[in-house]
Amino acid sequence: MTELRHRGAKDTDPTLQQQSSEDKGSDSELKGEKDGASDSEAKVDSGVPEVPVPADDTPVVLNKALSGLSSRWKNWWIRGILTLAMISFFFLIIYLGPMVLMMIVLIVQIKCFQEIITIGYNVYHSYHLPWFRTLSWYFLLCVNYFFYGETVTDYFFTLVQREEPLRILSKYHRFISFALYLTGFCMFVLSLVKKHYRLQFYMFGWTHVTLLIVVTQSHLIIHNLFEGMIWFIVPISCVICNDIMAYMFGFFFGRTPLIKLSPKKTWEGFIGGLFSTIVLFSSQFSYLMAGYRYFVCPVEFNNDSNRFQVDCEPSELFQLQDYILPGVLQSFTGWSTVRLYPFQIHSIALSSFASIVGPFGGFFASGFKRAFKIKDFANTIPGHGGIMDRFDCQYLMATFVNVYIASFIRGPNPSKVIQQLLALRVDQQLHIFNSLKAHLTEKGAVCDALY
Amino acid sequence: MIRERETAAAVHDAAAPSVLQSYRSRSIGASGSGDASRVIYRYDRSTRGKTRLTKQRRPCIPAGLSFSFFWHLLQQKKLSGQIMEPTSKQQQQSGEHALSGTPMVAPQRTLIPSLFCLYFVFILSLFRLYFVFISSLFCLYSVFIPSLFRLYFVFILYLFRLYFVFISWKNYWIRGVLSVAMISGFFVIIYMGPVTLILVVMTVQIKCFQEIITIGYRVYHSYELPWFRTLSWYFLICVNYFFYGETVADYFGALVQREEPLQFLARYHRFISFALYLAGFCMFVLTLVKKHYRLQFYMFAWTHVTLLIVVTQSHLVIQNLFEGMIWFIVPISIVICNDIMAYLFGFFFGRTPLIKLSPKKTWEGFIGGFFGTLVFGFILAHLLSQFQNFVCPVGFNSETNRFSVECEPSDIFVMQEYTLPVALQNTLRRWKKPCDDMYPFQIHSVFLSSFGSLIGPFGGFFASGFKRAFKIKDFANTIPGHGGIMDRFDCQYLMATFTHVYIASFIRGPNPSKVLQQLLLLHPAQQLGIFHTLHSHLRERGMLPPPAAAAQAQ
Repeated sequence: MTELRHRGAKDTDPTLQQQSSEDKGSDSELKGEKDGASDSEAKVDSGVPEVPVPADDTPVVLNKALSGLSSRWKNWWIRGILTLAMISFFFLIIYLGPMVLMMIVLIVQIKCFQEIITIGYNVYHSYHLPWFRTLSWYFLLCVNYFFYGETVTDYFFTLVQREEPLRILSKYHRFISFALYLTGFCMFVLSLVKKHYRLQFYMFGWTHVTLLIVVTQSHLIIHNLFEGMIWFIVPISCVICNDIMAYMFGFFFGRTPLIKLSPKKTWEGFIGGLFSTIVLFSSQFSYLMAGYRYFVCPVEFNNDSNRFQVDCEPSELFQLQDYILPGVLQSFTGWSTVRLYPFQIHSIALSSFASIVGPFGGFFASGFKRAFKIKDFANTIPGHGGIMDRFDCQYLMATFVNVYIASFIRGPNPSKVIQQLLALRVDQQLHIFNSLKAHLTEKGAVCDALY
Repeated sequence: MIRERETAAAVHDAAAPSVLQSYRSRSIGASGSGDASRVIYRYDRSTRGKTRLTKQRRPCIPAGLSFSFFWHLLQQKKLSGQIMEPTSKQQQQSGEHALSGTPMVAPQRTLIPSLFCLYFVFILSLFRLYFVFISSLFCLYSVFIPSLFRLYFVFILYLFRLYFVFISWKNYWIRGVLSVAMISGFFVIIYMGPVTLILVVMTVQIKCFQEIITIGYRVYHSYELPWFRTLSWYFLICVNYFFYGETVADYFGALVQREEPLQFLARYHRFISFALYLAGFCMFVLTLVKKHYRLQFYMFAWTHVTLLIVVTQSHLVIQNLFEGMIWFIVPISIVICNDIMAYLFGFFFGRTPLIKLSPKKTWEGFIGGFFGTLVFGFILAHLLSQFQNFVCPVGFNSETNRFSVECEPSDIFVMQEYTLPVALQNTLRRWKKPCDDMYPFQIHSVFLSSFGSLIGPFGGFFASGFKRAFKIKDFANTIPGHGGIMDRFDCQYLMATFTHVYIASFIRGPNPSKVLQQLLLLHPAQQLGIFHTLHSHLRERGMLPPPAAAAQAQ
């Protein structure tokens, strides 16, 4: 690590060739560059200093308990214990409620961002670029402010209207966030240093792609959460279950490799995970969850008690309905109708996405790790790697769930519609009022004479 | 530098104009001298100096020919009334159409424009392949414009001819001529209306994307990576589909409701765009090749950052356009004017350098440009606010299937009295200018101008830093004397985003048709609740008669 730090401080480095940070894989041309920027495209990958594998930092307790086992089994046990710890932690925070969940999502997002940015610094040896760490965190803050501001304005509408400074902040929210972002942009331009232009642009691009991936998708997770905690729990559980099941099936039956990127994955594991997640796990788990109002209701902010509440009349999606089985299944199982929540059918769609397309997020992360020659994103979780390692498949899933809800399930948010209505001009409001009146009269909901 | 160019020219092709010299002399590793420490280009598609009809361009002739023939036929059919129906009975009786005075038109009226189109397309196709598209675009509207503008097209044609006569485009004369050509091109495009503007914005966006991606390929020597060119263009198409679909669904609501497939596409638009994007993402993962992982990830990230910068901001430009063409024209003119003013002030008075990134920029130019742009923006806003054509939001008239710009101008485009500070009043009175009436829009234009002059140049510095970082002189060589399209548009992008945020924050309310659309999607119970809220709100405002009076009226 000290070697990397020295590296960043020098301008023209005669040992550049050995410590290149970029390469083109098989291309072995030597290109000298006059300005000696630390990112010359030089030789093959062998010159890239690897991110040093940190020392084994599993907790002492675990080490003592497992001291008798061989190294392979020890690793397996550590992984197993930590998996159980993470899953129970997951249940705990679900129990604690929506507020804690939002905090946890925020913390996870910040940690993932930090992990990826650190990798970028190590790749480009740019740890000592002036201002750049500050700017990366500043951009993270800006984008988070923008996204959380939009969410808060939607869901906490009444709270915002009451407080005067909050009202101004929400009315000019986009302008304020844009001004904040622009400040960061101008600071970036002003901090461009003569010999490090390319590096700085790379880090700028790296930061923005990371923001795009990590921050927007964690924001989508929060959106899903507000729809109802079940929309947060079920997708995450499907991905976790798919991981575990694919691992089990691969462990016991694995034979044919799946993709060159991840040599440990096998077709048997893939199909086994697919089958068990879709058929066995998701419908049962969602059946379990859909019975509880706590999970099913949209999270709302109660103005009087200033707390989040999850209390409502469950929508049609979460009410048991009778479905007539198709003929094939009837003869197979001997039942003619089956009582299901409609949500279970949606959960089948969600879990099939998690099993079929979700692994591509994992392959993407594997390819990324191979490209930059790192074994894990970081070493936060012993035995598993960094937080990003655990969450790489989740991000695609979160985006999918959000798009799914927006397309197939949710209508627009009524409080947001009212807000927009009241912002219109009066003649436009009148026009809309008349259209709405005609529409409702058609449906028989109002009497025309009264209005 | 001139000597380098000449030797390069001598080495490569003495006869060909040195289109590529900006690439070869200063770009990443010129290959001419065979210096071992410099990079040799892997690919060299841009041998565009030749005016001969190379193999790649031969399809243009039959393409242009068939296009002109088809256009000729189409015009014949339209003018003889088979395609366009008369919009009213009166018109039917009098036999008049929207296009021409007589229902039956002699073939000569359309033959000459079609031949002209053919010539235009043919000539331009010799220079750049994509000019076929641009020239076809101009031809599409050539029938609607008076003959004066056809002369303009011929003028443009000869400018391109002239370009190849002059080998060194650094000549200020050719640079000035092309500036004038671009500005007048801008006016022509505005004259042609919103549809042309949208198409031009799309073309510019595609070209900027292509320029930046080409730079990425050259930096990483990844031109031969499998699939990657396809994937970059595929992502561009996906993101464009997503953005244009959202815009279309908003503004063309009535049109969308009529057609069944469009309705389906609009309802599941997000899902469809996400599925398309995912397909591209999965293809990327599947095309990862063992030795090229890092390269491929770099190109993936490069594509996405370019999409983020170029495509989202051109989409914001289109949204500004729909607010009213003035919101498109004024910001762009402000940036152009700031460029020119800063250049002129720097030329005459420039002394102290502004920033190390761009050594040619000076503080005098910066400040002079700021004040010049303020005045210019103020006057331009005053000039344009009078015309309904510019001020009204662009609406789509579902009956005539055309864009219409007719409306009651909103408050900011109505003259109002302002009491200026006394000092300013005295100054203006001395110059004998009427000073009391202003459009409120002029005040907005002051803010837009100040942003364009103070923060806009940062977009230019960013682009300069980018060019220095990757050691290129220009983004591309599309416009002789000026570099690529991205060179011209680098400041515009920040300005477009600022204008959009400005409109959203300070001016525009939500779009009523969109709100109605959302209302109709809600639950009936929620609709009822909103109905009651709206009813009481309107009654408070006095827009509705109280229920007692309504009951009495029955």
